[in-house]
Amino acid sequence: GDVYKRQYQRRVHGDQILKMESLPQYDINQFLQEENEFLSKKQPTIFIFCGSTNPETGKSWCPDCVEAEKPISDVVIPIAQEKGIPIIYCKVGERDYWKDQNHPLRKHETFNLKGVPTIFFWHPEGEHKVLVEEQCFKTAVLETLFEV
Amino acid sequence: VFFFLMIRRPPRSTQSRSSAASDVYKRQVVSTQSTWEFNFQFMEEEFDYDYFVIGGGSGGLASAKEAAKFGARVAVADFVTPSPQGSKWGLGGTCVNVGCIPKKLMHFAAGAGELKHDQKECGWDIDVKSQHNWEKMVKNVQKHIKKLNWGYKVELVEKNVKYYNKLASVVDKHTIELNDFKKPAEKVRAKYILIAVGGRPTYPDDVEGAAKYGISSDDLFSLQKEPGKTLFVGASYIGLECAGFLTGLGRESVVMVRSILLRGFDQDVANQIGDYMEKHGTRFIRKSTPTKVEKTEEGRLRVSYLNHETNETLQEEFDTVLFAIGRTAETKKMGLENIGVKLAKQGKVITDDDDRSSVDNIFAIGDCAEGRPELTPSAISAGRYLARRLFNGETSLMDYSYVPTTVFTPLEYGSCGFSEEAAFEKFGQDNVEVYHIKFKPLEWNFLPARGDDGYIKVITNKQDEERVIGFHYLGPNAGEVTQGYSIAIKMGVTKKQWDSTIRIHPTTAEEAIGISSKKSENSEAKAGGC
Repeated sequence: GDVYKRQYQRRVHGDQILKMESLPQYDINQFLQEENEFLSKKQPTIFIFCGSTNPETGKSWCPDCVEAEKPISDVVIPIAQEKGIPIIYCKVGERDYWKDQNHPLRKHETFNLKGVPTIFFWHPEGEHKVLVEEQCFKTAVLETLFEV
Repeated sequence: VFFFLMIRRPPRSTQSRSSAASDVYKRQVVSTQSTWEFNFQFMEEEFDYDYFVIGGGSGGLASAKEAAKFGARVAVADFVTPSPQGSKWGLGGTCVNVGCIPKKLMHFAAGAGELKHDQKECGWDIDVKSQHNWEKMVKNVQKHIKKLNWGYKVELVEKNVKYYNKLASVVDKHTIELNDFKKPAEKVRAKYILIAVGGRPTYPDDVEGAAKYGISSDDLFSLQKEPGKTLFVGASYIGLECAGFLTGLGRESVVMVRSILLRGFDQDVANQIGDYMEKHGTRFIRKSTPTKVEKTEEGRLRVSYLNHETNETLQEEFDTVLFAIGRTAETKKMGLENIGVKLAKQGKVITDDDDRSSVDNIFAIGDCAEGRPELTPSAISAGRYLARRLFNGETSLMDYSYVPTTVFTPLEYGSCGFSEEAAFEKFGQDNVEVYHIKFKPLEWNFLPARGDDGYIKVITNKQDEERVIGFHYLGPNAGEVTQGYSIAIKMGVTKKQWDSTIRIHPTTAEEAIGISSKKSENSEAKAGGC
């Protein structure tokens, strides 16, 4: 019930709905260079980690990431926008690079990624909320990210 | 959609209990193809939910998730009434928030501190005088708990279980009122109701200042201020475990005991636990109960207490006073008595073997149910079996015999089956053989000061091929040791089979195999050789 109500409201108000592809994107190297800046801001931030785009298909090599794009665009992006929560969209790299267990984000002190897609709602106090893989497909599950 | 709305349910009068499963099957055709959001379209349904679970703790959540697996429409209501000191917490119940989980983490933290002395002798360059930072530990423990709260919330949504963060009370046998004291109360109707509200620490009603100045286990694990010198009133497992880890973390801890330690547990082992704790820095004030708690000018707490042996009233000052004198079921003020649900003297719900209360569609499991072990795995198991009986046509009942447990005192105590006293009472002292042995874990030898404080007792039934009916292990990693042995005990292992198993060396668990020393012949168990 709540999901339909929210989508209806968005259509009526005609807000600009950001699709994932129009979010500013960071490739893995750019992300690692700037991560300290993101994390030192002491502001709750949503990090979205997906596999990089395959230039031939125009889509991510990761089928779960492709499936998560619409639910994320419908739920996470508008609500984050409404609440003023910044979103950092990071493309973790090519398939082979990601599959390597030494990938910097897999061993990362904060992010410690186990799979893609990952939505990492980072809180300065350390009470992060993380959704991984199929959890990113369900709109009801994505909405729980923003529940108090 | 319209096709599905035209499915007609059989007339109510011909419905038997077993048709609950077939009802659900009809709806399952729709439920598995839609999210729970779809259900509001079924205007003709008599009930909003098939299964309404009151209490989102170990038992409640497990039962709710299991029922949802079979296609039932399930909801969970979980609400934490703040403690007298104002503590509250998220979804998951006592175990996750103010019980097993934070307790074990703090027990580990204390052990990690004690290990400093061993580390030095192992050759590490360690400052044994380094101090413990209470705030840092609490912060990390709470971080983990919040992760669990979050995980449970997500899981409920993933499994199509509706979650109400509201206080539930029953209006009639099918109607639940939900109130979060912010928005107007709402009412929902459910076919079956599960009471899984657990319990909360009891405050004494004859000690002036107890609720005003005293904390409980509800507050300890999120305590923002340094606890300092702490008095623990009560010597059951909560009091002893908490006093144990606080001592290990370097704070002066005192346990006030009215009569015995660990009521209900093997008393021989309970006393050894007390001796070990005393040797390791916890002070015991025995045969005493508090009469008053008041605040001093410096902001400390002055406790007046009566020694029942000498009849003297004494006083001592502490920074913190924690009451661990028992727990009371949270069944008051939720309307149960008004609709005919019979409660036992202390407030627990009286249930039959089917976990059913005196009202036919209302069930109860876990800490709030009369006669059930106050243990998370027991509640989880009972909850799952119940869901299967209600929604999958199964008939299996939970088996409550030989449930293993562990008390995480500084020297841990794992047990399964009868205590010595209970075995004598049930089978007769002459028909029971008690084997026992003391031991010293190999690793303790880095510190010569450590004694052979380890102790194992294996109790057998002489009239039944010396079947092992009781196992008691006092030593490191008691939970890990007891879990394995409990399987054999549940399967009916005899002493001969037990002793025929080859030992793993060097371990402490192996000391349980091949004990020949009988308590009837030798009351002082001697340490075995290599």
